[in-house]
Amino acid sequence: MTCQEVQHIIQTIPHEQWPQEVHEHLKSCIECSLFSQLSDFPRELSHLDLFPSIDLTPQLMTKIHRHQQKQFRMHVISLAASIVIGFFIGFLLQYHLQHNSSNYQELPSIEISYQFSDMIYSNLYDINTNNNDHE
Amino acid sequence: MPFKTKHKEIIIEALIKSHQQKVFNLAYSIVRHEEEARDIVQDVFLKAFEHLDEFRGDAEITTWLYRITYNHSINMLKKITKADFARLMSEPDEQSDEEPTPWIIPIAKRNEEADFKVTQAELKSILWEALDKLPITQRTAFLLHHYDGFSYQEIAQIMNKSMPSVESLIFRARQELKRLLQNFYEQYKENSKIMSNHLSKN
Repeated sequence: MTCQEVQHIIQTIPHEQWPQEVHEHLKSCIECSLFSQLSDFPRELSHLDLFPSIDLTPQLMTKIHRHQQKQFRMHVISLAASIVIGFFIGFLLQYHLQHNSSNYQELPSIEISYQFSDMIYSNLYDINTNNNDHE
Repeated sequence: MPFKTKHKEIIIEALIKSHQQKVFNLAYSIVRHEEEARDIVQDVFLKAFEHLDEFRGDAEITTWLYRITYNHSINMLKKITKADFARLMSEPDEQSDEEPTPWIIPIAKRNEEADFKVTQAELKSILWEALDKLPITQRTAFLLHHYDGFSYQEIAQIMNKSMPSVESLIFRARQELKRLLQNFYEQYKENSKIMSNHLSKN
């Protein structure tokens, strides 16, 4: 079989149906061998280790563990921050309430003093009116 | 219902073991750099771990894994100069007339060893040389289909394209590869003749 005939068969007939002579020829002719490999490239691809082989499982699992630890630390920090902010807000509230309650205590004394002066005034007035009445 | 931490670890480990090579292949076929591709694999699985609770089925998460790998790899490429990125992503308007780089296989040595089959390493180099001449979208779709065995529908989901567009990408990639490898073969034949003549003269 000539190279031309072999290459014609390779191009026209599916790989599974190649005659035995073609296979024989391919064993002894590098040109036709290359031709067959290149012509049948999608099928050849599956037989090739086209990509570097990797196993990143240990590195990835370590990274995931670190990520989890980082997340845990973040949770702890956010919890601690919440507690601190909570205390601060609590302190502010307490201060505010204390401040308000001290104001609140002052108000009745003013009111009392007003009431007291009113009472004196009215009493005086009453006295005066009574006096006038008597007169 | 969210997974327990221990369950999440078991699931992610199983996912890594079963999908890391294909995720790497996809990243590598886009960025064409081993270290970058490894980094992408790590980023993708870390993201998958963070979002594990959002998935309800294996099919959903695997498609998501490849889609995020594709997008992440494209984004990595964008870090290269914009001009280079545009050139890599663009589909060629006309067939390039550029001849493939001559690949001289040492015939004399081969004859001595009585090895008439192109070695895996040689064939791999030839194919990568041709694959590198394809636009990224064509190369990715072609490799996803012919190497990793994804269906057109899966590739459409991964690359966020329509099915006809994926079919067209793979068809054009096959045609272009055929042309490039044919050119390579012609080049090789020429070189072989020159070398044979040279050897016979000597």
